[in-house]
Amino acid sequence: MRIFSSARDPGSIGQAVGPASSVSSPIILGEGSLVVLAVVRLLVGLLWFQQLFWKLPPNFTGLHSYVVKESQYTFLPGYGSFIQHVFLPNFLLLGAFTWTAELLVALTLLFGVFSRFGALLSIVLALQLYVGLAYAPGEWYWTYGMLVLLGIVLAAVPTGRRLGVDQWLEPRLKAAAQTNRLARFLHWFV
Amino acid sequence: MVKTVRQAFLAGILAGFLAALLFLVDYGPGNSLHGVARWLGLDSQGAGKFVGFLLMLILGGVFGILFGVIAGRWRPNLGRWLLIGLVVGAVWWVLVVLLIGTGINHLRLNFGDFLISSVPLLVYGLLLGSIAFQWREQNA
Repeated sequence: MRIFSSARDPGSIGQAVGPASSVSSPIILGEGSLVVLAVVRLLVGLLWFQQLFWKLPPNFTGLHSYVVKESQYTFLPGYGSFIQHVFLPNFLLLGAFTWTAELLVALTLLFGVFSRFGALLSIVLALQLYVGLAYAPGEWYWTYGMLVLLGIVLAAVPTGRRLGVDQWLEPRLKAAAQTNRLARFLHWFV
Repeated sequence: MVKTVRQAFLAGILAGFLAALLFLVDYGPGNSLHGVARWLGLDSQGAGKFVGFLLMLILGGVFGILFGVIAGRWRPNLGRWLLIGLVVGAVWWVLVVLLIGTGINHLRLNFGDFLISSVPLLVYGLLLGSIAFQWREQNA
């Protein structure tokens, strides 16, 4: 069994036309590699899932000190002021948004349903953490950098197509994508 | 039918092992497995984690058999098997966590406890359906 991450015809991906061709031969992931990557997806989903429990609704208490820390130590000019004047006065709204987004990342990765969407969302959340916390005291800047890189890997490889709902969704969305724009759009995320 | 049930039993043990990993990797080394042992009132300071891990494998196999009995009635179909797996995961949560854990052993069940027990068991169900289908497809 083989898997291609693109909805395009597999035959059009990097086909070598002869010994002198400068085009690389296609890389096809074997079944074992796909399952290993699916387990990695599960564990990254668990990583995000576990981070929900120290900032539970309705107060999102654990999150507050981190937002304050971000406002003090961000390396992006103006971002600290933005946090202080927009995010902190509306902390409950920010907490609800952050918690819901992280829950969505966890569920999409754990269940392998629109897993590439979850991975893309995790990149956005991790980038925000990197910008805010990477150079805060007691933090190791690679922590958030690695979180971004993990998200990029899971967005690049369709890991939900093994041990996930995407395995069922993908052929259906691919077939519907021929005639339906929404299906074509959704197909990017499986 | 017998073949389907036998495969589902083994798939259940493997899915139980993977779900146990979700309880194993946490802030402490496997502390969440104490919670699994508590569902059946079998927790102890020394052996609680090990009992919890073993329970995930045993119950994984038992609910795998239940999956095999239900799924074996129809021709293999990925969507149906994933759905049956999710339902079996939900049945595990209702029977073991809600009825035995909360109802009989009086464990608390707030929002956080609900999330941390239900999501891994639903993931178990999904893995069970997916693994069982994959094996069936390979042997067909």
